[in-house]
Amino acid sequence: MSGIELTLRHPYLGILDASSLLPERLLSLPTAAIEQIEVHAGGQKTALGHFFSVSAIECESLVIQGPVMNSCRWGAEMSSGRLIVECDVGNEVGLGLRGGTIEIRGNAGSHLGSGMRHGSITVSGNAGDYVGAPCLGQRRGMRGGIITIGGNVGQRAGDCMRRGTIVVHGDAGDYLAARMIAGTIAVCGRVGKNAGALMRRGTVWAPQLQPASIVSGFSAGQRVQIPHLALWYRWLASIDTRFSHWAHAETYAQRWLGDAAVQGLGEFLSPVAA
Amino acid sequence: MIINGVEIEDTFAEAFGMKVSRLIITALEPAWAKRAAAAVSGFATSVIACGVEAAMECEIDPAHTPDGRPGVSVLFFSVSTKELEKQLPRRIGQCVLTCPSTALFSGMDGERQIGLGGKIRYFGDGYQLSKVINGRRFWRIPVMDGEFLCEDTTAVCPAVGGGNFLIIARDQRTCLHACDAAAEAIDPIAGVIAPFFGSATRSGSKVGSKYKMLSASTNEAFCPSLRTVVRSELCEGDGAVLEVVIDGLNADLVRQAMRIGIEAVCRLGTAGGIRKITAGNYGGKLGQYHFRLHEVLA
Repeated sequence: MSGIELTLRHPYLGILDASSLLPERLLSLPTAAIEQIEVHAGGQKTALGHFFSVSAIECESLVIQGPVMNSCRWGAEMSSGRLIVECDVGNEVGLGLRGGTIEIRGNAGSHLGSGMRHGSITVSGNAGDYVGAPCLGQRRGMRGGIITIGGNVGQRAGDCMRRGTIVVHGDAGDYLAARMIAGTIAVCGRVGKNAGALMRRGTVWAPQLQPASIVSGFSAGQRVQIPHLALWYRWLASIDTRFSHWAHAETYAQRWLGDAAVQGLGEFLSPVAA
Repeated sequence: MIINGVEIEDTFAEAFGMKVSRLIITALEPAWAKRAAAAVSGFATSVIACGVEAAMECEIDPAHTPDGRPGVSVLFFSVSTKELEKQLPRRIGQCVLTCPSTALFSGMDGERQIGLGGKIRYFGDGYQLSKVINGRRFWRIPVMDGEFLCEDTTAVCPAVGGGNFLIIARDQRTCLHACDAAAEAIDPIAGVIAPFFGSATRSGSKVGSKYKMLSASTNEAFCPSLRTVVRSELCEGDGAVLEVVIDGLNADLVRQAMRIGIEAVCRLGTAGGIRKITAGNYGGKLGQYHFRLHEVLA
């Protein structure tokens, strides 16, 4: 079985809804049939072949060559397979993702992985606001899977997050983990303001965390030993070589517990020496 | 069959299909992991009254434990998954949760899972937190020395329990030394435990009793003090009998442990006071596994 590569024929300024272009669907169709698939673009249904040239490739993946910043919902509700976006991409990528992997070799827009349940999304660049947040009109954020961002994320990453993991190698914007219900977020860089607002449970691990970033409903920082960090570090190191130096790190951390305005069992952890 | 002058009786050990679960206990220091293992496998010599048969399987190097700390592996055997599900949370709650610095992990994979931390977590009184790492759920229960980390579930797999052999020796001391030799030989085998302390029991039992409330009672045929008054299996000069009981993850492991244990005893030979090796069975009607001694040693 071979893969499919979609290459944008010419820049498109409208909004293209790519939710119907899933690897599990396209990889089973002949090239000609793929070109006939109708996509919503600018309020109209248009054949895919109008926007993209379709070619078969050896790699068993759906590969997108863009730029496709104006397209949205790539990999929405995807359940299996591999989607590779070789450029910057628009909003709502991996919306409600159920399985499979999405690799974005560029930057991603807002609502990345909103409401996702399983699978993984990797972004080499930056991502916009509301990473792992609820789908529009819903109350619960991502419920499983893992999102890895090589760069920075915008505001409200992990908003209403229910389960799963978000790993940010760069900085996180304001309101990180706001209204978070459970799950884990790792931020290697700096954290913006009002982090943890109305956070109920869940964990934010951030080595560069400053207490001023956290909302006032959190307890004073306390140095404690957190046994599960040993497992967490080992797992991070196993999935991402950038964490390999953490594999055998000590499990002591400065811990802030809150937000007392709600359930108060969310935690911010910042590793410290034993 | 004769080995080093010791007669190996042409009989078989009757063993049973059981359920097993392996738990890994880690602690800040090896001694504390061993203390927790000793506690959790205490009063676990026989399923007849203890619910489970359990013992420490081996020590685990920090490099091979889930959290990188010194650990021990403990095997729990029971007659049913339901009984294991009942016994494990009790034992963990009283013996591992209570033991300073320990953490508890499932030590085997299997389709059938039973609750572990999922039941212990309520001790946290609402302050417990769960964390899913690499698809496995752990409970973090706040305790006075920090947090007790406990895996949510553990796997249960089919296993074999009740493999055995009986050492007939000229006296009690000789028999004890023979058991020590057997225990030392069996100990390094992974996937096998001898649930009785020192690997052996002196109270080998038969099914039933003259008393209705007892399901098992002393095996008078192997009691030296009754040799002349019952239909005894012992001869003149047989001064003591001890039974080595072996549970294992599968029949091959039990067979291997029986062979290595018997060979270790036979090395002592008749000169060392060993008179005969035989095995316990119930006529072959109860257990699914029959380990014929001559085949085991072939």
